[in-house]
Amino acid sequence: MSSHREAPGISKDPVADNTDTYAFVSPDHPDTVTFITNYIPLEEPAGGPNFYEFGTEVLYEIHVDNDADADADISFQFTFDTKLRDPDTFLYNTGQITSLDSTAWNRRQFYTLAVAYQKDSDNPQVIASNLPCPPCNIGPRSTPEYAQLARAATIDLGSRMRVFAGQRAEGFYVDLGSIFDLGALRPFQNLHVIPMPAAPGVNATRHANVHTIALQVPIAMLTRNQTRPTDVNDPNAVLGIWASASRRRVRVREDGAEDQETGPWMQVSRLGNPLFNEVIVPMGEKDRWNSLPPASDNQFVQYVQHPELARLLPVLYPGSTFANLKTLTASRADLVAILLTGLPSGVVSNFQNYTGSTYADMLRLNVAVPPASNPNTLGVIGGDLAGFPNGRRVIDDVVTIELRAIAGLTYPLVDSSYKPDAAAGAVTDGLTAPNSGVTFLDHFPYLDVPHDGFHTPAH
Amino acid sequence: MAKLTRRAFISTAGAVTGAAALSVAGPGIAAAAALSPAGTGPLPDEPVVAYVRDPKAGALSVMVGKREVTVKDRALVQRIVDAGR
Repeated sequence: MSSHREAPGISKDPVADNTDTYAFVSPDHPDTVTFITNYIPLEEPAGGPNFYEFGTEVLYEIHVDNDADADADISFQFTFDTKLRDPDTFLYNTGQITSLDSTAWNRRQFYTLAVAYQKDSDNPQVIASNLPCPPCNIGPRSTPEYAQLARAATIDLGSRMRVFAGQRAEGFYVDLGSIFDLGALRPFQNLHVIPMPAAPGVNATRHANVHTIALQVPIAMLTRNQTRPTDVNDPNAVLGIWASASRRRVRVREDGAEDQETGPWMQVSRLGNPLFNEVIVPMGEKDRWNSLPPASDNQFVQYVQHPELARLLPVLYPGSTFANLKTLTASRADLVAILLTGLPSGVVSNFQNYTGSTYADMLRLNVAVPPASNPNTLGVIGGDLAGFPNGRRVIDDVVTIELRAIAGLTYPLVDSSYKPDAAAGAVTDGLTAPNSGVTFLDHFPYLDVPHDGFHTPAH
Repeated sequence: MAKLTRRAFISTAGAVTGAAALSVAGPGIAAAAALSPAGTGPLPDEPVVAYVRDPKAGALSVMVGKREVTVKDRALVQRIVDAGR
């Protein structure tokens, strides 16, 4: 998956497991950027009585690099507290939750949002505190007007900033069951080395929820020169973006009391481009990668230059399917540009998201590209410059985009003599935003209301 | 000697922070200097954890709040190791 349970260590710490990160110019407020970063993979909506919540000893962050050095210039920090009304009941709620301060809601979460600037990163400034999260979507008796309830948890912070933190429906669609079964893609599995009849894709995350942190910020508060660029070639227009989760260095289990956590924050999860740690970084390096900042990614560039999946595709789909890919042994400068440096001017007409020669896994968003009036879920390779890898929108079909890129579709960007296999332009897990069963909102926080536990997966 | 419990480990580590004459390595120099003179600094209200990653190196990490200070003191490390026996 994008980054759900993608590394051995973080798979055992779900509340800190960063699953997807998005950054895009807000389609309904194009003078702002929306950041979305999700945690807690594969939430089963009926998973009570201790329903899902953010970690209270986790530092969640969204980082922005605005001067092309892959270091965070702005870090938005989120920390959470849990308040228990009645410790003498086992219930999450003792009646209907009709408002965010409903007395029937027993276990609530609140958070503090702060911002740290690189020049003074040890002294983050609190933007707002005691901000309420909505409850999990339990069912029609406990949370009868859920959409309205959750809407109250979208907080207007002033200065055209808004924030939301709480449960949402998973928006990342992928045929996990097939892909992890020896790299099978159902629409093409008749060509697989272990063939089966071709079939439509199955969205494994269709009924899953996640915990979302969404933040909308004016572009002029993010760029290095504090303007809203309109020229795509303006170097101020490109933002590098990633998210992370950190835990304190030490946790001491107490006898009959709350555990003690102390020491500096240590990063345990990070996420820029979807699928980077999942598919590019080998198993033995994944935990270490999660602990490092993007500016350290020169250590991993060889896995981008020679991705394992590109070697596997011709083996899994033998014969002529990936005949040209099989001969492509050169360093994949196309993937390095897409994932680690951004695309310089002149590669794609009227577009660049280059952040210099420092190899760093970040989303790179050119904020001078306006939102698309008719978005193409294949983003830049589909001719839509407002989509991945120009940042990432919730609708973007990142599985297909990255599959095709790794299969060789984008290699002609750096070597016009290379002819991609026909399969490279067709390969997909068979899912698109419309056929995946996933729905999105056309407004903040863009990810839809979470599935409720009463109906899911019953219908 | 009685087995060192987790709680006792914390209180032992706390005493270490307040009492030892320290030579400091790494980025925590300023933080450690504030603890001098030995034995007279105020004791923190929060737990203090001392971590001896490699006893043979004679160094320990002291964590107070969000700070971490690396202390190089072979005698102190030896006393901690002895306390755990």
